[in-house]
Amino acid sequence: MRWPTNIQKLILIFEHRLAHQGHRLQLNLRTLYIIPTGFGGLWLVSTMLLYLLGINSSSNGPLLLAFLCSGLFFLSLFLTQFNLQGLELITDQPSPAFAGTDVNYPLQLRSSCTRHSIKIGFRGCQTKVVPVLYSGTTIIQLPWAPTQRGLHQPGQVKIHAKAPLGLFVCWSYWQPSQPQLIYPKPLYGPVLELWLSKRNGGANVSGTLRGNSTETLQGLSPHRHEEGLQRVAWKQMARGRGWLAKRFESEANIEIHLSLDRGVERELALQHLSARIVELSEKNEAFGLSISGMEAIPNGRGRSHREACLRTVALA
Amino acid sequence: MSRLSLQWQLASLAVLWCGLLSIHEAQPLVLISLPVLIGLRVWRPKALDMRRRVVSNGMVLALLTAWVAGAELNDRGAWLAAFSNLLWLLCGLKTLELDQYGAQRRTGLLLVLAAGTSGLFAQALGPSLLQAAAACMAIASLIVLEMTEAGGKEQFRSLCLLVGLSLPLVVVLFVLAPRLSPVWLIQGGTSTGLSAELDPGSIASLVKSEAPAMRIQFDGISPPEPAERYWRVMTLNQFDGRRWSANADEPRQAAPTPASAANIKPQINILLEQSNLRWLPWWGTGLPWPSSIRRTADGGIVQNTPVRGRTLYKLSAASWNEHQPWRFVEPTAADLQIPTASNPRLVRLGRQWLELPDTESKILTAKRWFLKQGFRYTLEPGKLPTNDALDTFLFENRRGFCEHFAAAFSALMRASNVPSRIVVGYQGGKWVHAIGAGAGHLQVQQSDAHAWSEVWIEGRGWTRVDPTAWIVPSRTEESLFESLEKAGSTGDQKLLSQSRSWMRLISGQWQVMDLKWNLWVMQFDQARQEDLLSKWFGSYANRWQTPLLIVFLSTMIGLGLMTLQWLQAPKINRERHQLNQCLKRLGLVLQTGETLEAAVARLGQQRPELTVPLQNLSNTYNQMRFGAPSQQPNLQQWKKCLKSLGCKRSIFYIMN
Repeated sequence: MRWPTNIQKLILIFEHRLAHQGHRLQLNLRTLYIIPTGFGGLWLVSTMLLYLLGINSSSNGPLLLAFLCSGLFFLSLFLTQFNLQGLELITDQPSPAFAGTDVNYPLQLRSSCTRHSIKIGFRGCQTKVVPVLYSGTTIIQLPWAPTQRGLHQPGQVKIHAKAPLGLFVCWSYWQPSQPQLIYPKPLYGPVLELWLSKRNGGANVSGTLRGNSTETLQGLSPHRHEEGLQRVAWKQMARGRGWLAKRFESEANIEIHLSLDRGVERELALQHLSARIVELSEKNEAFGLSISGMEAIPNGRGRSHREACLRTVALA
Repeated sequence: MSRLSLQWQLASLAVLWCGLLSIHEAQPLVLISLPVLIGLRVWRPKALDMRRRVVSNGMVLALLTAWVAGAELNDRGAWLAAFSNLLWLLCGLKTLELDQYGAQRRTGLLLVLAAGTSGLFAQALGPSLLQAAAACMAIASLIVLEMTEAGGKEQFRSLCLLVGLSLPLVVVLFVLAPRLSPVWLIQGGTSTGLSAELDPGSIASLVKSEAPAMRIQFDGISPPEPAERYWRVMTLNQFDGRRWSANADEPRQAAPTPASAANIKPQINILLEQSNLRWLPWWGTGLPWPSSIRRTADGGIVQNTPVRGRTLYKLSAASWNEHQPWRFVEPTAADLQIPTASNPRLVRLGRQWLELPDTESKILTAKRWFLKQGFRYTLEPGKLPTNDALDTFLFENRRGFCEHFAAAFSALMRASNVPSRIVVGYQGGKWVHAIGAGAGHLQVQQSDAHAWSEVWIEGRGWTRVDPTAWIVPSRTEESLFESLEKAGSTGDQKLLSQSRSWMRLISGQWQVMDLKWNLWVMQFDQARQEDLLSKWFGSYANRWQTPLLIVFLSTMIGLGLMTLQWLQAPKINRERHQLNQCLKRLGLVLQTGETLEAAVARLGQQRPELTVPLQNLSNTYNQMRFGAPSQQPNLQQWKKCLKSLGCKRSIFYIMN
């Protein structure tokens, strides 16, 4: 349903006031809200109709059915609430991700009994349906789409359920306080690269380059699937030697040091840096990073080095 | 969309359709379309695009208009029947468009409503059961829709839980909720059985139905002999040459029953089916109750409104041979009136008997005359002409049933100056034995409808004369079926459905249950509610009704919630509970993440003498819980282990 903008704002304010914050949330009487759904309203109208028909035609059949319907309505109020009550939501350690992509935020659901048809999701994002939640701990990944780099809380989680009859909707809002690190969106573009020569110990080469020229072919080794098609030695493969990958070695006497290109807007430059770090890491090349105002990262390679660099770029 | 939910809904629709078959008001179009629609949905022809909306809003509106236009708008009953038929048809159409969650949900609700409206027209036990089944299936479809991925067992458990926990609420509401009086009265359907007028000539053939007319329970009195089972309904004394009708003024002279009559024994309880008449059947003696029923001077009992549904009333202090004051109400000029212009041959015959000395001899002469003429008793007498209908019957075709004989005899008596009238009602009835120690009851069917004459005899008052019994003496003692055979009208037997004896036995027991269902549930109205409450809670019941309702409702809800909590709590199995109890006794508390073996080893270090039995216990437990079924130790071994540690194997265990 589309509400006018003013009312939408009011609803938003109201929902913010209803939301709870923290690392964990136990759903209980204080944190759960429940109202009849539209279908529940329809159900009540039908019950009323049956009651009136029964009263006016002096026949007890419709009257009994009307009583059954009202009994079901009343019971499903409790059953719907019981379906969520006692469920514990706990934040997990979210792994960093790039802005502009679909990001998963992990949540632990801890339950002491089996629950049905639970819908959970971040505001404005796709809702995840858990058809059956068995007792024990379940980790679910909630999708959301961050656009900005940095440490972000993904926003409000709405958890709701309508089982068993769909007459009531029971829900709760929660603001998980565990932030998720979001790297800048990788975007290819100019990056300031400082090429330091180890031999003469000083900076003698600099430029905005995306170089492959620094690499010399070292040899061949069996190709691994993760390496992608870029490194496949096609020539050797054509000769029937099978899948081989080219192994390069940076020229040992050159160190690459990445930093922001001053000529480009800062956010954009950070995105370029992000892309360059990803690229260099894929090639397993050593590089360093220095951004003004942030601690410089010395030359290195490997997964943790890559993450440290991306983290610096994300928080710069 | 959920296929299982759809299947439930189709099943519900099928059950609903079965229930509709017994409903008179269900239109043939609905009865034919529903199975076709179910078949279409099951078969799913490719040409039928299921994704489209089959029932658009416009179509609903058009259907509604057409339907309502077809019904007579001034008749609320017809309007209601039209509305219900539309609802039933819509249920069928809706199943075709089920592809969305929302649509499927609304169809479930529509089915519940449809089951409810069919309850307006059929209240017997069988249809009620079918309606309940249809409603439960519709509710099941809703549960399946919401809990799609849950197992069938889980879904069924939810259904049982929901319906089972609602039932106590239903009972409390049904018994205790204050009954509102109707806002408007709905008339239910067309009449069967007796009508307020008697026009023998207009009926060409009569197919009698085996539908029950009334059921009679005798409390403190034995039922009358078969030949004496005459149940009066209406007295017709207005004769216009063709048609006999009741005196319209008569009910106004009716005398009410004194309030003291309610508890006088013996009593006869009568459950009457819908008749659309204000007159109620009775025996001619006793005081009718409730007191709104009054006795008229011509020997009938009337209530203020026509009988629109099943009605329960009783006759107090009714014994068979009691003095009946209405018998001695002097005849009026109307009881002698006969239009001389019509039926000239009948009048001439009657005038011949004017010379006879007294009324008894006139009746005897008439009887002899009837027997001599060779009349035939048949259900297919053919239509009589508009003019001089009785002449044609008496002197030309001589074929008729009870109404013909009674009408002709009464007219003859009037022609010979004897005050005479016709009584319509029921004659006969089948005795239905109850299961076990129950008292049984007399069941009177529509096919027992009868008409006889009453003549005024000086000194004896109004006396019953049944001319049909002269022609077919067995008619009053046996059922119509046998009497047709004796009268030589075997062809007419085919008109009556005759069931086998074992089926009659089963149907008899079913009738008993049906009667009980009606007495206790379907006829439970405001008056009976007040009776019951005053019986339980004394004279303050009225004032305390609402608090009582609240108290009972909250108790039921409380109990229901406790049951729910209990069912929802995580369950520990019996052996685990025994193990816990045993370890607790030994002072051992399992730490988080600690295995049973580690805990047992820890305790073994403190108390070395227990090491062996503890290890035994731990091994047995683990084997019982996690071992392959073939390797699991028996309970005896487990018991021994517990015993060796000084722990008993308790039978009762508490879930926590």
